[in-house]
Amino acid sequence: MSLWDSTPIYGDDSVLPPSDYAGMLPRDYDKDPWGGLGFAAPWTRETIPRSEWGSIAEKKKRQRTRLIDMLLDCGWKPTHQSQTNWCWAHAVTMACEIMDVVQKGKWERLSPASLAWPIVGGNHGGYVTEALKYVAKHGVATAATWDLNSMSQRQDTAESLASRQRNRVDHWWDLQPRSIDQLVTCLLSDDPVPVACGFNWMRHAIVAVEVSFPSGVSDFLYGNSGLYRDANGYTRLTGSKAIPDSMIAPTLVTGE
Amino acid sequence: MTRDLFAVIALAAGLLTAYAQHRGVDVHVPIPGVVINDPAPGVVVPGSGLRVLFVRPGDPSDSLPGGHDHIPSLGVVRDWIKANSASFRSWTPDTDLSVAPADYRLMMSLPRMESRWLVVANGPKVRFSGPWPATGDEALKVLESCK
Repeated sequence: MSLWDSTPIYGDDSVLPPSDYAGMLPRDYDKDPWGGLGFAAPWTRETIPRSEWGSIAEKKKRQRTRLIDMLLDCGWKPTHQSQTNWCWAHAVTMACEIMDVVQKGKWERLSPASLAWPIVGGNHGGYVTEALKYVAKHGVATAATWDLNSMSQRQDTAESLASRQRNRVDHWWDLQPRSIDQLVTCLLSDDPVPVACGFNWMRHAIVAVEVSFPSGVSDFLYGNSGLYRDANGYTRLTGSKAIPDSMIAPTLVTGE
Repeated sequence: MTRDLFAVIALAAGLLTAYAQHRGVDVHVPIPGVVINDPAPGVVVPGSGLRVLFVRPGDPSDSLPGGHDHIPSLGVVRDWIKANSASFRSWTPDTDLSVAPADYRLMMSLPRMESRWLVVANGPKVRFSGPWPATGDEALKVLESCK
């Protein structure tokens, strides 16, 4: 069974907000204003016209140029956040891993805990922009040097610091909040990029990896570390609840 | 007679290539046909094996010409790389290479005439350095000729 044939959980209006807390806080636009983050460029490129979405998606499926095709080829799987409130860090580390897949066809598991600990000092909530800013400035450690969901303590060692140097984000798009056109363009581009998305309605952050258009409706596939994930670690969302409230897309990670 | 004709053509092509390289002119053999290319004579690539570097434009407004495929993303190209135990990188000109492997750093330093550029090394030699082939089929021909 392929990943996108697994039983979907549709985020339409029948899905109620979760009672669990996944850890995502709404982005603080006073602290991190859209378009004001230096090298994190606000969106300037042309979006793909909606009239072309269906045909481009079909062509990408035929040629296996979608992100999900690349992920399947090299065995990438979403992480699990376990009992932590670090979905916002998981969404960003997953996006960085996926960019490694795009740039070199292989990947190494990264440590969301190595972002969450320095940023929030323990098992607390945060938002994706904070996490990506940290990756750009300090890098992210590999899971081999800093346990994935370690809540016990910080694990700053010579090895984890060295691995941060190898895993940084050099460029990223700061997408306009709730812009489906920009999200779809990221996924349907010739050089597709993953998008770390924050959803206020479920207080959860996940990473967009694929869009399709069954019956002409946008149907998004997300790599998901927690709430609503299926057995493979993915979630499909469509309808009004599929529109992210905040979106960031790493477009270039350190070449190694 | 036919064999003689081919021999003459091959000799002429070889002399032309040698002359062009002597003058520092980059040589691109048209894709339909055999690609025997030594575009960086004297350059020794560190490391071993087949390595494929796709340089893609950093500017997203630099769109692909009509009828051309986005070579690095193609499933058939990824399949070839995997089947031939090759490695690849897909970088833009402004990729941070401070921790990049020496072989790919060297391949990245070779001159490029277009924003979409393909470099293939096999062992210590650069076997191809030229613009992206237009289609997946043409890309596979180029890659096969570098084995």
